[in-house]
Amino acid sequence: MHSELSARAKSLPALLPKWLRDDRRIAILVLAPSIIAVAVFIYIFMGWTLYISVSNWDRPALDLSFAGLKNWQRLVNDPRFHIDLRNLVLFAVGYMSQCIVIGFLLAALLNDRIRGEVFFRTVFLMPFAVSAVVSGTAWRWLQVPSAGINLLIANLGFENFRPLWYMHPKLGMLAITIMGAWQFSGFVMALYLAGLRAIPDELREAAVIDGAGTVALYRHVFIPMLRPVTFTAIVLTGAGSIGNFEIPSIIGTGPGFATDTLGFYMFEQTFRSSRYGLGAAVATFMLFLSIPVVLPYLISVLREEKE
Amino acid sequence: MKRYCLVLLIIVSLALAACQPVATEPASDMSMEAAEPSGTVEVFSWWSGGGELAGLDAIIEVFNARYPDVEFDNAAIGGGDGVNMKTVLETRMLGGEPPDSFQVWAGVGVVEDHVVPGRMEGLDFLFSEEGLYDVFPQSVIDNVSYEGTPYVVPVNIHRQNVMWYRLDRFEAAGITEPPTNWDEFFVAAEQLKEAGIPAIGGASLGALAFHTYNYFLNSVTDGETYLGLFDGSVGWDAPEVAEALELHMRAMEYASGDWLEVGWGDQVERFAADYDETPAIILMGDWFWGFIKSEGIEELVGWADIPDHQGKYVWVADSFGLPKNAPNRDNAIAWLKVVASKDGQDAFNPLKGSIPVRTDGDVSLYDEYLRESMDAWQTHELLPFIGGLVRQSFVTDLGNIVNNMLTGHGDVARAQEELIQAAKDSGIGE
Repeated sequence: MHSELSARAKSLPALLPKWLRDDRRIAILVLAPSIIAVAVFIYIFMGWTLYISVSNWDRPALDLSFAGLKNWQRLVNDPRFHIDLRNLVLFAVGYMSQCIVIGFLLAALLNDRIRGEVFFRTVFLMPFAVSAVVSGTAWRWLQVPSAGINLLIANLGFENFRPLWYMHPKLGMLAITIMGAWQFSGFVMALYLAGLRAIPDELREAAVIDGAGTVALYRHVFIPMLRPVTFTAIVLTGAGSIGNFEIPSIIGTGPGFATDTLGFYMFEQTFRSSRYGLGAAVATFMLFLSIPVVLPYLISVLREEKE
Repeated sequence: MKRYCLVLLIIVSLALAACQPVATEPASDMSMEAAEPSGTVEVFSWWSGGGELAGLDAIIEVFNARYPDVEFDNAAIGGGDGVNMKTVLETRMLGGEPPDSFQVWAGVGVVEDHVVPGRMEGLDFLFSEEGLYDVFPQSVIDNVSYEGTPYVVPVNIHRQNVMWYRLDRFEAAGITEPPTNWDEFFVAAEQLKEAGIPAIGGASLGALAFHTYNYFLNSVTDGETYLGLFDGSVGWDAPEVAEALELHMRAMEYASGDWLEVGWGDQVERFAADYDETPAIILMGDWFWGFIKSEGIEELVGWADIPDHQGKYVWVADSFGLPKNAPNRDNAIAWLKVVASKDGQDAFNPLKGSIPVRTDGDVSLYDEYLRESMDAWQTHELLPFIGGLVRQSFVTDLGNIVNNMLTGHGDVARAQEELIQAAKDSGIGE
């Protein structure tokens, strides 16, 4: 049986024309469709977007005449853009720290092989499977200042403590990070749990024999060893922060654009106001913004592959 | 031998794949033949609930009776003023895959967004064949035309400026007559406030701020100034612009304490039911009448001119057009014929809560409010709604600027500066 299979495998190159019998050529041929697709749909379109951002296209009729930096100038002078940048910083700080800290703590708790681990793992991971639209709507109702969580707080006797949540004109974005973190922390937990499980038991035992307590164990052994996982979590949550679109589309852009994002601003300028040039400038800006987040990751992946 | 078979197979499959687009390309000259339309017709609208949906269903029924072989594909996408539908439409248009027909406000918006870019077919042939030049009022024909050619078929006339009020709320605050000017409004609003009733409904929403601002603008301008703001003969630095912004801010002080937090849909639900936060007044176009009827609360609700709007009829016409390269052109034309027909308009409008564009509509089919509106259509000064006077980009900007002022900075001068910039940006007066 085995020899029959290998004989058939040997005969496969014989089916192909002579110029195709080289492995490398076959590899190129097989990869060609996806290389072409990636080149067209990612890189050419990126270039296309970059070009639109310096064109005069600011109404439904296609107008690709060169406008110089007009759209970019307008972008950097737009107060809404400044607010969106502030919102991005608020969101990134709140969202990334919550996801990573909560995700890590949950993973550490589950790692002790507690009873019902499968149940809790599923519960913590569940929000990740819920559509952002559904969770956004539910969280919106929880955070409505006149109802939701505030009613709970009032019932506990703190009537005068009435946070504005996402309606806060300056810090509304932080309330929104709670919605985002609720959704994504479970996924970060799964990353960390996989990382923790990959740490050999011998290491842990060796550290315990050397007298390390739980805190020292995490501080000197686990956390340093989980650095690649943390790195992945930072890249994923960082990219998620830049691309955030769903939340303002569900709960609105808030008082004075307090919960507006670059993604929503781009969408509104492009599709509701037909300012394609300006929308493309925002898109290109977001792309540049994601480079420092993704690039170190790519470099480290490439380096690992070389090693 | 096998090798050649493989190569041949690849060539054949590539050739087949290359042939595909040719096989599915629609025949373009089908309209010349008088064949009975069949197949499907995909129609975009933003009518997805309440009286709007009931009206749409009624006109679809007329369509189905007249063209039993055509399947009507109702591609309605909800969302106030069609914000969501317009987004999908824009994507489809840019992708070269238009629906067969779509809903749009008549006026500059459709001309700038769709006619000038060359996306629409002229409908002169349809207007002549169906005798529409004789049954539509001239002002409407002017508004749906660009350089003398009509491009859309209006199905209805809505009045955009109506004040709706809850009779029981007025009574509870001791108000006997609806306010006729803003001074009276603020007196009434104080009375309502004392009775613990929010005077006016509101929500933090660009599209709503845009509509509501239009009411204040029409209260403080005469028709000529109002129209001038959009044709460029009056600048947006006019004092009336600031006056309207101030009135708007002042009025919102009498909205429910949580108006920033709840959605517009929630406010409308409150108006139809009994809550502590039920607003006494909602300023809204008469599409709201369809909602009131579908909720069965006609007895509870009164209507009047918006303060300082006496004798003004701000009108909107929902229309349908024919995009170039509509996949089922014949069926789209069949749909437009139904939209323009007496049967179609008289089936649609009583349920939608609007009046027919045709002057030969059957008055007996319409209810008390709509008959009054048909009267006003004849006697009032007719002013097109902003949506029919400017580009969509200004509509979005105006909503955002006013909403940002109401919910955020509260600075009238800054909002006016932004409006001046937005007007310039949208080519007003070019």
